[in-house]
Amino acid sequence: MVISVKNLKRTFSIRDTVEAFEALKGISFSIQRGEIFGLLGPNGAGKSTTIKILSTMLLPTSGEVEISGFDIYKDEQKIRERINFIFGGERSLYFRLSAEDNLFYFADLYKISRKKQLELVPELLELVGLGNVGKRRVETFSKGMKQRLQIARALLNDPEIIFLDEPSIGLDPVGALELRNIIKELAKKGKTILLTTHYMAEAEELCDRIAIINHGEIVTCGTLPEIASLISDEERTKILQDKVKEQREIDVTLEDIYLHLVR
Amino acid sequence: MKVIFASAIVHMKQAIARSMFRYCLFLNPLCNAVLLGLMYSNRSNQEFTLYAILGTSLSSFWTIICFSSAADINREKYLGTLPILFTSPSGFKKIILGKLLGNSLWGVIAFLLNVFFVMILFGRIMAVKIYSLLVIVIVLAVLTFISIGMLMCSAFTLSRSARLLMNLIEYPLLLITGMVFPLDFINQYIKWISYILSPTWVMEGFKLAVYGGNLKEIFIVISILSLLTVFNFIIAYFAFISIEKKSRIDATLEVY
Repeated sequence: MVISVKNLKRTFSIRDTVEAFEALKGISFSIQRGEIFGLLGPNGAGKSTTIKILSTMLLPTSGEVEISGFDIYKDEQKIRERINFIFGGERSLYFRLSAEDNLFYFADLYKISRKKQLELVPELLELVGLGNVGKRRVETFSKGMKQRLQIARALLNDPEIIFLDEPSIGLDPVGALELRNIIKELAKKGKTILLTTHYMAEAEELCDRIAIINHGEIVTCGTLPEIASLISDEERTKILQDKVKEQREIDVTLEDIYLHLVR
Repeated sequence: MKVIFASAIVHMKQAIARSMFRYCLFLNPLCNAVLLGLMYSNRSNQEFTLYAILGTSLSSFWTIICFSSAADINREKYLGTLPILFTSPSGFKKIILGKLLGNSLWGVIAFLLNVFFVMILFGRIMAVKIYSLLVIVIVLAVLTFISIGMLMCSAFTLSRSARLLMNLIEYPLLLITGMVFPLDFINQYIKWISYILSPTWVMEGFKLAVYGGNLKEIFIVISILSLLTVFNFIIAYFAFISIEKKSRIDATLEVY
């Protein structure tokens, strides 16, 4: 087991009031090495708080968390060498620097030798499809390119675990598809991935196991068939009937047509 | 060391790419030069050198350090890079130290530009008696401003009102450390605050370099300035250890 979370709680105090907001109310789950684990839930459910705690940005109010056998409370430096994270949106990069300069700088922060950087940076830019624009300033990049550069950044330290917090947010269907392909490639290379997303299809396509979180509590956790078994046969039949009806109305979805036209 | 220098270089590149920073670096020293130059234009060469050339140059340096320390932390928050720096295995302290080194190098350039502008605009030369002391004090000024920057960065990492704090401290420090006029003009009680601030001793050092002084006076000024700088660094070190934990408790690394 590479990530173990037991009875994790996190409370935030609210400014100018004595009240506190309980973002996590004692969640527990574990993730196996090489697994893609999805954390799904509505806005404010506690997904990002969980990721921030696991990536050592936040301390829990209580509970136990172990990452690769290290305690989140006292071994944060050891954990940081083994993880990396990507947050959705156009952030976590220096826009006024080139893509290459961003990667060289972050590689310096991960204490990677210059010799290795000279091999690694072009290799990673190539991997995420930015090989020909490495010298361009990030501010000239599209959202999808920035997101791919973030992935390259997150791979600099060859992490065991990658946390992806809504990585496909704001991406067009082509960008989202490319991102999903990269995530699959990473999983093939044995990386453990914790992914949060609002896109169910994305979770369905990528995740080995899924936890659904709502109001700071885990509603369910398991494989897709296990989660699918939570609905009754009647409910399943009804959903299938609706889908068949929809299918009759349109054979090819707009997304299919769009992808065909723009790719 | 590699992390410190890499952070300094990246920071300097980013800073100069911003128009506001270019204003602080090039236009602000020019404005300061004109203002202080006119104020002291009919004074002796020594007084003109101390306040219109060195004092105003130091204030340009201070402006760069003050605004950069606060704005940089804020900018990292908005860019979403602060959590990456914070959680990098190199350690947050080293990265911030590198950034401040970058700011200080730009600060030195602002300082030199200011000296150049005043001398050109007013046709005056620097009246300095002990040049070696002037060089030593400038080096110590760089170090002391880095130490103050470290203190400010630690406060700004925790605070969500970095910009407000930045504006609140810029002018008061400039006024009570004797950068633009002699400390004799200010109240005795405020003077006590002045003497615990290291820039005051930078100005005392400049005064000795301009007017001359005996070895004992020089030793006292250099010692106090060095001690205050070391003291600032020690406080900043412990402040950073504390904020590294407190930021994780209070969730202040991002903008919400």
